[in-house]
Amino acid sequence: MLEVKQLSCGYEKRIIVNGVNFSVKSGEIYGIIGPNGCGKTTLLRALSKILPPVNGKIIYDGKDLIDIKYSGFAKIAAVVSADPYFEGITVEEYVLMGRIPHRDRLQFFDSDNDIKIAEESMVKTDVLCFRDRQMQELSSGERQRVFLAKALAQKPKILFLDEPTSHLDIGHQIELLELLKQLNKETKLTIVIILHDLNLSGSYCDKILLMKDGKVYSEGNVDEVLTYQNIEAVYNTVVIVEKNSITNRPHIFPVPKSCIAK
Amino acid sequence: MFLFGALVGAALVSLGVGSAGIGVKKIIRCIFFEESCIERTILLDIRLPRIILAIAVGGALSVSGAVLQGIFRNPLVEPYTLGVSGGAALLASICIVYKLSFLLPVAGFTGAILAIFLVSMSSRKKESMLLSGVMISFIASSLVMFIMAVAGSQELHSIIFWIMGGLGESNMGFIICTSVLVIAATIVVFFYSNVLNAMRIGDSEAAHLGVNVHVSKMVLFVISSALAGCSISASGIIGFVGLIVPHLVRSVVGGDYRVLTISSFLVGGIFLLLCDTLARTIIAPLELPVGVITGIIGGVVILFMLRKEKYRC
Repeated sequence: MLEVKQLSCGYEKRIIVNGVNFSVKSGEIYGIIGPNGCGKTTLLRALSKILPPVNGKIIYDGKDLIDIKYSGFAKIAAVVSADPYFEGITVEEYVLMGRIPHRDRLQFFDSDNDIKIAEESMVKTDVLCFRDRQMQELSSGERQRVFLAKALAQKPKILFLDEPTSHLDIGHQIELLELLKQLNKETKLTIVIILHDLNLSGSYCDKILLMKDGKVYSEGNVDEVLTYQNIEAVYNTVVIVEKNSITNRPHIFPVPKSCIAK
Repeated sequence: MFLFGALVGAALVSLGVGSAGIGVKKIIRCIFFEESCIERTILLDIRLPRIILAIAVGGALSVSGAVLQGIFRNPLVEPYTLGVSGGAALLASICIVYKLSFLLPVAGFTGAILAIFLVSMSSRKKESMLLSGVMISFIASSLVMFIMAVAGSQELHSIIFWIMGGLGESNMGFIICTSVLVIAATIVVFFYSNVLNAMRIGDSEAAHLGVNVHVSKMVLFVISSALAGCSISASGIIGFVGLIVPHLVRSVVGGDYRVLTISSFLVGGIFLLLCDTLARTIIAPLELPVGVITGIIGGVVILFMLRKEKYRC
């Protein structure tokens, strides 16, 4: 689905992502984790064609991203950014924007099909009941689901999310990730997700990329990446990694400094 | 909504014709069928071009304002806050001082385009673009003041009148030319309405939706300055229309550019037409500059709207 070869990118002359290699298979949930400022979002911006690579290649289904047009790319990939702008727009209008890439130049207004697809994705994300509300009136959890609904209305093959759970409580976090998991199972949607919460990434991702200072520190299955050695080296924090007895996935417990002194 | 706009537009065109000087509506209607009437037909020949011009200029300024507000996602932007009027006024006053009055429309247009070009050259980010627009306005207006200070009284008078703006242009060919350009540009803007909609949620988001943001912005920027340039060259500087009309329309029909573009055009035309009608009748036989009316009405309307609702752009 997605292959990244020796990718370097950044802003002006400052290189932020440096020589990154990885690949995402179709139907995977692929997590990207790492400390603040390690280049996760920059990497995502490069993958979603906002930032041109300085070096290296990004390949989607055998095609180089540089050769894919913006309009064509928007039919393949949808992005839920960390904090998009949303003032003064109703929920339905916002979701319908996801249909823009599918219009040809002479279609100005929403076709019945556009509205049908928008409604479907609003049902999936459970936001249909406030379709006429203004975006700024919603709670962050509701808004996050609308962002997702817009992305789904694009009918993408691959979905990128940048810390979608960051302003949500634990219930909404799980709800959102369950929804993504369900979409992933039902429609074989490939998902690339940046997460801050290591335990969430451990329980929902198929594979994980751990970044440090713009480089790949570790990549692979959850058990291979989420080891206490890796976490301690990257986050500079002492942790214990144990298994969640039900899911059998790794679970990370931080150890306070005061306890280590003993 | 569309019908509404079109209807009001049509109704007001007839109003514009009716409300001036001697003409009474019924008599004018007669004229349409009886070609032999003498004075009335002449009146129509004078007034009709003016009405067409008012609609074209009002529409152009409003669409231009709506587009620029969309690109910058800033409700304070209009062609004139970006230095367009400053550039136009500067070149026009130079023309007047050098007794090249026949070049005035050209000077206005090139001044407008030049200012926009300077603004976009001098800053790469859009936040600083607005700031450099304001700066260029300042520089230009200082230079205009300098020219006014050294100009003779005759020239001073014509500079002041040009800057105040007016719809007195009587050359029908020129008017038709302007209107055709304006309508063509508005149609192009309409083709970009989905793009403008996508930009409402931010540049990166628009790119995620398959918009080539950089190219579209350049195109829209050039079109909106051409629209402003057209209207300036035809009527001098008429302030405020490009700022208030998109605001007003947006608060009624919402921010969807597919509706907003056309409604802005219609409402802008209607607004300027009404203001002009008022300007030439209120102290008849003398004429007020339209800018006076648009400024007063516009300012009051905006203040009123700000009070009434929590305002969104």
